[in-house]
Amino acid sequence: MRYPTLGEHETLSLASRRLLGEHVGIETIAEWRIGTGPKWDPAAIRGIAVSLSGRIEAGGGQSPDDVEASAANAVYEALREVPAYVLDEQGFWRFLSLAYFWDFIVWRQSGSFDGGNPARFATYIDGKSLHECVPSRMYLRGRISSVGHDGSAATAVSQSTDLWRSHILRVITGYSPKIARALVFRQANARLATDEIREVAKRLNRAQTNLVPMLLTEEEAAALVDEAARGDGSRV
Amino acid sequence: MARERRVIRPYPTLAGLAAFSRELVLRVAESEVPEGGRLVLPESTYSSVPITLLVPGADDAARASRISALVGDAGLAPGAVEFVVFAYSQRLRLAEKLFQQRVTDGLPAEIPLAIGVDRADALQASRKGAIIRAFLVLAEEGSRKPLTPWRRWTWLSCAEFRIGVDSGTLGITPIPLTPQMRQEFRLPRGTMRFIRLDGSPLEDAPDADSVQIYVDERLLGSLVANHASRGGRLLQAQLFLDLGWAIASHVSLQSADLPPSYELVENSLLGRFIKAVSSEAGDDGPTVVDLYRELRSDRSRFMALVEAGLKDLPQTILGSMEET
Repeated sequence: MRYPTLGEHETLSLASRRLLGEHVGIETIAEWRIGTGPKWDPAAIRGIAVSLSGRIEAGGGQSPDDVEASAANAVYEALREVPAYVLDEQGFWRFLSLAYFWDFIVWRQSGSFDGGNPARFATYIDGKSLHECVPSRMYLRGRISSVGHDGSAATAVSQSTDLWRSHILRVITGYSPKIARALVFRQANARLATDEIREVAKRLNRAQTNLVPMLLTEEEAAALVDEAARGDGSRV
Repeated sequence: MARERRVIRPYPTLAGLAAFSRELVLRVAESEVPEGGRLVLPESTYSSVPITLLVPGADDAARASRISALVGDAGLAPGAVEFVVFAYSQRLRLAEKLFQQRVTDGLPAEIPLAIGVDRADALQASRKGAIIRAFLVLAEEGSRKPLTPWRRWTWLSCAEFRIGVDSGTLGITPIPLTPQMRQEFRLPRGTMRFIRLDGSPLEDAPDADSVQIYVDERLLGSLVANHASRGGRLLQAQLFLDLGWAIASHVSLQSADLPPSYELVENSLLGRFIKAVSSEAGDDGPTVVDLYRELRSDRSRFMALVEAGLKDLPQTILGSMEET
């Protein structure tokens, strides 16, 4: 697939210029890399970006966290056919961040962009850590929610970016969509406080070290999460 | 400091199965990777190289009877055990099943895991490479007994192989030194730069984590935004020299073990640093051989040559002094 990328310094420099109010046409600056297969078509991602911008403009006290969650499945669907070697490329996520998701990211992570210090905002646009960069973390959340399921896990818990980032995407649970979904649905049914969910996630991580967690069925995954939540050590 | 990871498991009956897993070999093109090993491939071949898991045993019957016996020794029913292979991409958070079979159905001598470009996504993502793990797993729930695996999908033994990509460059990106990191590294507020080497700079094919350069987050932010300014260029030169000192100091502790020629360290962090210095210095600067010779005989002279390789440095320093 032929796909667009942006370099790291270029991205941060363009971002700084944008923060100063300069209009920069990112699509014309990107370097197109050549892989196998057809050229990547940005139409679907562009559509998501337009929709997100519309929601930001509409205002109305929406939670940025929940707006991010609501678009996660669409981002995954839009990128579902993109080869893994492209999704692995930092420069591709930098391009998406600047070309399409810029307004949303600045709104979503507004505190980090205040003052214009790239060291504070780089992680959300530089594609180095896929669980921090905003479009890639939306993609991962959408993929984990949607593969073999109806995608409802992405929005099952309100204000859950931290749950996804800290207790799913950063840890072993991120490799096992069924366990990740079971954790999310349990939290949706009986919301635990931050400290409590942290302890449950720890027990869940420990339990998985002796298993091949990807082999569990949905029911087995739900049982494992329930046991971790009970913390009685009966099976975990 | 070098780190070692060990898996401690509560099942003393699985030693035979662990020994079997240690005999598994990953064949990647013409190379054979032993259990626990890592192979570094050029980026150009990473996504197309054939990968096959080699299962020990003279023939199908010998393999089947050995595994059945080992499973029996572990106190388990052979029909309850499966052989499963997964490929992982850490970066994309992918774990993809490549093979699954009951051991009572026999295991082939060779299990193809990737042929040509048609391969699992986890084996296409090259940035952090891939991990391949072959497990013997308990596929049926057993009865609970102390120190015996009983839970379905408990792994009984595991063989791990790593495949990475050799970018051939230094490829180091400074990391913001945050207040939390200062606490972790016990660094005072005034520290602007901090370099950590993970392992020896003489190790072949260093990965992205072999060296970490931390820079005060505010300073780094300013550097990124103003990297072409005099101050930005001075700081970049300083970081390069700092890295040279860190490598040279580390190497001097091991100087008795320093290989006799540059070619023998070419693919190490040291070799890549020397190559970067030589490239920066250009045709009239020191060659990689000159630099390596100086390092082996006189560390201070080595650093003097490194500094000389930064050809714009004198002008940048002079220019910044004139500004004040």
